[in-house]
Amino acid sequence: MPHIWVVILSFSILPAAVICAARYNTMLRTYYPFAYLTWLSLVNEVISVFSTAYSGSNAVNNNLYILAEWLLVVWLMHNWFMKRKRKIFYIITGALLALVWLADTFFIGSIHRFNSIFRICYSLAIAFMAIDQFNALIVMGRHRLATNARFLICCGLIFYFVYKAILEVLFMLDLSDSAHFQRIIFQAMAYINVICNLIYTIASLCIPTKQRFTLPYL
Amino acid sequence: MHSDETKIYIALLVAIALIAVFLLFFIITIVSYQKKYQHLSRQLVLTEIRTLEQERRHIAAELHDDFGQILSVIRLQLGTLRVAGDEDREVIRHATGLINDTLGRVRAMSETLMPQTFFRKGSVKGIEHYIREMNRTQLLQIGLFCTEEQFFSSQEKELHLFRIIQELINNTIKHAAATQMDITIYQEKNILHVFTEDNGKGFDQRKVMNAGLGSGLRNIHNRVELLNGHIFLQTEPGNGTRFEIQLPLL
Repeated sequence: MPHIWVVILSFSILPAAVICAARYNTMLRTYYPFAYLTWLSLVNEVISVFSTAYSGSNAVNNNLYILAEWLLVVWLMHNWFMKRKRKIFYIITGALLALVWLADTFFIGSIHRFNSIFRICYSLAIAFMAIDQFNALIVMGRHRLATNARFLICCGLIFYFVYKAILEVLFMLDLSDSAHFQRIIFQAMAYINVICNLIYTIASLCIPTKQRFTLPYL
Repeated sequence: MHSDETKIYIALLVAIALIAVFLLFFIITIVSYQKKYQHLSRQLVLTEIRTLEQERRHIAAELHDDFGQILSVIRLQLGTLRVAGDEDREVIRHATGLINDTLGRVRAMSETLMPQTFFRKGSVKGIEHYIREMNRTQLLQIGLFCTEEQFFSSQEKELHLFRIIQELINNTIKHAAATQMDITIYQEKNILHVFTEDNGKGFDQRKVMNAGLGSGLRNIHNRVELLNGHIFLQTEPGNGTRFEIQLPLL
C-alpha cells in the first residue's frame, strides 16, 4: 500500500471529530473526553504529516499524543462508572501509567524514539478496561446495544487496542529482519484504524444529549 | 530453521498468547457480571416480596383493627336502639345480619392477607387452617399429608412456603375447575418436597408459557427461586395439574 494511502486512511477520524464538534453543546458531559479524543487524534494526524515531512519522524508528537490518549480514555471510563471504588481505581491506574510514561520517555528511552513499554502497558490496560465495560453493558445494559454510544466506543477501543497491544509486543521483539511480515502487520493496523474510526463516527452520532430539566411548552 | 522464520513463529505465538489472555479476561469478566446481575435480580425480587408482605400486613391490620372495630361498634349501637314497631325491628335485625356478614368477610380477608394461625403456630398449622377454611367453602376438597410441624428455621422462609401453597390452592380454584386437590409435604435428605395434584382440566403448558406467566405462577416461581429451589410442572389439557417443588433446607 503506498504511503499516501496510509496518510489518507489515518484521517478517517475526521467525520467523528466533526460530528463531535457539531454536537458538543448538546451531548452529555460524560462524553466530553471522547470528543476531545477525536479532536486530539485529528490534530496529531495533521502534526504527524508535517513533522514527518520536515524532520523525518513523528515520534515526539506521537509520544505526547499517547499520554493524552491514555488520560482521556481513563477519564471517559471514570465518567461511565458510578461506583466510588471503581472511580478511585481508574484514577490510580491513570496516574500509575502516567508515571510509566515518564520513566519510559525520559529515563529508559527517549522522547525522540517510539518507546514500547508504555505503549504495551496502556494498550493492554485500555483493552482490559474496554472489555470490562463491554461485558457490563451486555449483561446489565437496559438500552439497545446497536445504538448505544458507550457500547460502540468500547467495541472500537477493544478492536483497536487488542491489535495495538499485539503489534507493540511484536515491535518490541524486533522483526526488522523480516521486513515483509512487519509491513503486513503495520498495514493491517491502518485498516483496523479505519474500521475503528467508522465505529467512532457511528458512536458520535449516538451519544445521548443532555436532558432538559423541564420540557419546552409546545 | 531460518532465523527469520523463527522470529515469525515466535511473533505468531506471542500474538496467540495475547489473544488467549484477552479471551480469558473476557470470559472471567462476563461470568462475574452475570453473577452480579443474578444477585441484583434476586435482591430486587426479595425487596418486592418483602414490600408485598409489609403491605399485606398493613392492610390486614387496618381491616382487623380499624374497620372491624367500627363495624362492631355500629352493631353494638344498633343493638341498643329501642324501637316500637315490628317493621323497624325487622330492619334492625336485617342490618345487624349484614354487619355480621361484612365482619366475617373482613376477618376472612384479614386472615388471608396475614394468617394469624401461621404467625402463632407455624407454617404447617397455618396451611392446615387455610385448607380447613377452603374445604368449608365447598369450592374444592383439599387433602393434606405432611410429616413435620416446621421445616425452616427462619420465619421468612416458612412464610414463603405458606404463600407458595396458598398461591397453588388459589390458582387451582381460579383456573383448574377441579373438585379434588392433594398436597404432600415431606422432608428427605435436607430437601423439602412439595407435591400438589388436582383433577382439574389442566392446560397446554407451552401455550401458557408463551403467553407469559400470570401473577400467581410468577409469584410462586419468585419465591421458589428465593429459596434456591426448583419447580417442576406436569400438565396437559384434560389431565389435571401436578406441581413438584424441591426446596433445600440448609
